[in-house]
Amino acid sequence: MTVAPFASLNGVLLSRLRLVLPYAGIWHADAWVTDDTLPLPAGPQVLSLAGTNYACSIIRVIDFAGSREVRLIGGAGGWRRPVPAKDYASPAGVPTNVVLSDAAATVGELPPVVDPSVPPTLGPSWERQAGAASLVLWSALSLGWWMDPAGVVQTAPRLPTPITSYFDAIAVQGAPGRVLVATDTPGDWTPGRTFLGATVSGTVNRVMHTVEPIRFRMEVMVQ
Amino acid sequence: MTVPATDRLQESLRAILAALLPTLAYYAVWEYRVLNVSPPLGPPAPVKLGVPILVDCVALDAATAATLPPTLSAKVLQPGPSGLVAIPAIGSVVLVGFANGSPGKPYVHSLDPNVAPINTPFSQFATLLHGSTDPATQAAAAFLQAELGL
Repeated sequence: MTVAPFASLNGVLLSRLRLVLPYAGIWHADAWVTDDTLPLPAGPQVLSLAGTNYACSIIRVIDFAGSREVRLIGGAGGWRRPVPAKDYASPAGVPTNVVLSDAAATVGELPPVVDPSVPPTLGPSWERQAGAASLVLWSALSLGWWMDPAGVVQTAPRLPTPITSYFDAIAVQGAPGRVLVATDTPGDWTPGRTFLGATVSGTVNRVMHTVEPIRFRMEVMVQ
Repeated sequence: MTVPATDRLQESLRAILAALLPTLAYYAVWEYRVLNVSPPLGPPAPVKLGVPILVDCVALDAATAATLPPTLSAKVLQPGPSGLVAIPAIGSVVLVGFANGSPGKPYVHSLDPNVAPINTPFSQFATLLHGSTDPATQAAAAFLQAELGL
């Protein structure tokens, strides 16, 4: 029986992994591959951690002393690429989804999912500035956007859904609001969700998964 | 390996600042050159209060075009506190700003100090005075036009 690796990149076992899921913005990861002779496929990559797949792209690869270190970013890596300035005008209001999907298409990303809570128009005018495509998201949505594991930008509010799976709070730094959590279901721990434990409770703000050769740990920053 | 055009650390810091201050560019005032005004209210047509004047314009220089759209269409000419506007001449330079630093609220708020507007509240007032049959009013209109070079 073949056991799937706990952490892998395109099916190749990782010796180390650091995956950061921010409350807003794009998640990213640093991965260490044990075998630097295996070629990395071009284009989209699939990062897997405890059964959850993350669609990502390579920012940087460096091989050293038989090991390969890879920096990965969620999605197609397009949101960091520049878009030209563009003038939008419509008496009926410039549709929000048009501005967002326009930027996405220009840099090869999937169109953001515009939640009904987001205003459908941006006004009779919208002037997109030249610069990183992500500036369109920051300026149009402020902190109201995040990327899901499939690499798609979401604009729905982070829901305070309770985490019901079992977990242990191993260590707590109360002042900075950091909790070290042991769990068999790390995929449940996403920003916005709430947890209620015997010793500590809170709302997840930022998650950092760290996989090392002999252990896995997850650090949660609480709101 | 290609040599990066910028310092990596500076570039990372620039990206962080840009994400924290994504609308910084919209707090500046930008120079554009007028291509068209709508409606085209040359004298003696009076400018109606409450009727928006829309301006099409093109970026004055490469620095502006590198940041904002090279051409802007149908941007509102902001009236002054009196509610009146002066119509900029085609080819003159106007200043474009963004209310509240919002990319969705561009407006033209200043005209070219070196190019007389083609229709100002004064010229409209003088035109109205000229239409009067009262000689004193007509004399006042002539004086106004002569003094202001209308």
